[in-house]
Amino acid sequence: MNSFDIELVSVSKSFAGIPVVQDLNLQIPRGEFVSILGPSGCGKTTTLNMIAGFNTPSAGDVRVRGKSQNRIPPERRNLGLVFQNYALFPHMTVAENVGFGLRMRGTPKAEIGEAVDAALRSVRLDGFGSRYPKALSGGQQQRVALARAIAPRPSVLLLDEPLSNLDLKLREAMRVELKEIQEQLDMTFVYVTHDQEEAMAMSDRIVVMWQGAIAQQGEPGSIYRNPATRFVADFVGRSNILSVRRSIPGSEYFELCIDGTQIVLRSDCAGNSAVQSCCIRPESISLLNVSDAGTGPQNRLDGVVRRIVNLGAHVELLVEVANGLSLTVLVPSSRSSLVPELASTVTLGIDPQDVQVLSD
Amino acid sequence: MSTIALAAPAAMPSAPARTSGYMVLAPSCLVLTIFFAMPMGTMIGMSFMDAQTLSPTLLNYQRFFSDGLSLAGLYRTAVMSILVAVCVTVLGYPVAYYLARSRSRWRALVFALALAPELAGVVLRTYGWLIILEDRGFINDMLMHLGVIASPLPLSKNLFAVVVGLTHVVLPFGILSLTTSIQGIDPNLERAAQMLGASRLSVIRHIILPLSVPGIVSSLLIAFTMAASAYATPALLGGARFKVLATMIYEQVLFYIDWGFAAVMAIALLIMMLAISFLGIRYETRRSARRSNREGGAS
Repeated sequence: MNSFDIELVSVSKSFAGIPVVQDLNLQIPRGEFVSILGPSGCGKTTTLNMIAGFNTPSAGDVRVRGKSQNRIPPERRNLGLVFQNYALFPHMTVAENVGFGLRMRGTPKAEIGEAVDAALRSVRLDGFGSRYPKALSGGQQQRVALARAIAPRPSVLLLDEPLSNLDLKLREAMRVELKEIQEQLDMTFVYVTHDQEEAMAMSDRIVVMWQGAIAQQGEPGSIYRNPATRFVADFVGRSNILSVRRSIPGSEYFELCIDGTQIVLRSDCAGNSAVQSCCIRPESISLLNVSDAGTGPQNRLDGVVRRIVNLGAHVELLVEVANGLSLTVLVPSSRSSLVPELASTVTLGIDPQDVQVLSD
Repeated sequence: MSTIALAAPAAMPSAPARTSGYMVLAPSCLVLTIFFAMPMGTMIGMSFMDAQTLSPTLLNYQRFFSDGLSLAGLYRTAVMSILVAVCVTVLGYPVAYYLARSRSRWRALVFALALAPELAGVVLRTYGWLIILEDRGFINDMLMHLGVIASPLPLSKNLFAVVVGLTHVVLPFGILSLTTSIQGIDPNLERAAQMLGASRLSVIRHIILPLSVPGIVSSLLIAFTMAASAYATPALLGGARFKVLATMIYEQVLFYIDWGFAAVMAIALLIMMLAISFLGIRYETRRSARRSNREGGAS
């Protein structure tokens, strides 16, 4: 026994000769909320299906609590699964839906009743037991699906984009609730999503998948601050990705010559001369006053505002800093006095620690 | 008929929007009036008419209920049709489940094989069964040859033979209606049940069967009405020893030339089929209505 609830060991899967997942190694510790994040077609759902048992790996091993699952059918894996389309049994009441898993395990009726009530309470749907799924709203149906999956106390709960059919407000509320429920139950959650905000909001750890392999994994903050590859920088959050023509490791700073321009950026990152691109988050670029004479090691760029998009809480500026090179800059709306006019000249400041070098 | 139906929409743009809906129905209404409503009316009229004097009478109905033979025929027809309906649905269900869920490349082949009997024609298939089931047929010949039995088993000219033959004829229709119904069930429901610990058998029992009740009901109804109204198969496989209403009507019209009495039997057959269909449809509507109510029954 070890402390990992789920381990994928060199797992590969191909359909009709086309590889979908390649040599995937993943360890999910007990009690963690782990998100598998990636664009559609990256293999995340296939990975989930292999954990659930609906797909058999072409190679490698799926282990649940140290035990190989390759020959174990889904119904004997003791995992829970919440579907994107809820998949509630329409011919059963809410209570019958939630009690189904326990009924299949042969739990006595009285215990089922108690467990159903407890599960419905934990998703704040007490009193809805006698209704049919059809009579519930989308959000309520999703809660029933969640209650149904957790009622038999599975060792791990798998969630397959469970919020993507809900509207934005509800989705945001459910994020918080899901995380709370996970902490309350102290259950391992494996959450598959293509929505990076969702993954950021809930996860203890994010596994970014791309083209059937893990592109990067780590805490949400570290993935956002230090994306390892161009793909991660682009997929997780918004970013300015710049091609690097030449990089010069210096004694204090790493200097990056941006392709097609005379611009040289300083970065705090450790890197080598093979670096080909770097990434700057729009919100880490600041607008400097012209009078504000540079003292520190800040990168300073002059540019012209080409576009202004009001996003409500923020204003997004597109600033042309050189021929063919524009940077997206995010300015909080609360400091509206700082928002420049269209076509005006501005000075951008970029802290070297915010210039992230990418590995490909 | 199809040319008439196609011609009507072409004239639509010039017609005012309010009446155009009815205009489309006109050709089929005309066809139905001439070929369905009018013969039905004539038949109902004839049932109340004395064959000789052509004066109105209730004697035909009186005879139907009192001669014993007719009610026995109605009873035999009902028993036969119920058996066929059950056999078709029970035999068709596994095939339908396979057709609805399989992604194998054999699926198309199974589909073709399931429907292929329809191409052969009823009479041809019925003769096929006759060759197999007759007293000197394939099965009896073989069993006698092997010394298992001394005299032929009564496999033809009885209820058994007719049910076998009709099940074969009607099966494709049952399979089609069941397949459509099972295809409408979200496959994720099966996976959800599996994840909750349900075995293959439990998934079928608790999820697939209850959710395919509409398909089961329609398969039963289709099979029942097709069996009750079938003529060729009961005539060939049932013969003179096993008579159902359809063959009895034929006898009345051709041998006894008693159109009035034949009409009464036809009406009896029709009422039985309508009653069964009504019951089936009412059962289904009540079931689905219960589920969309906000409050369920037992929890």
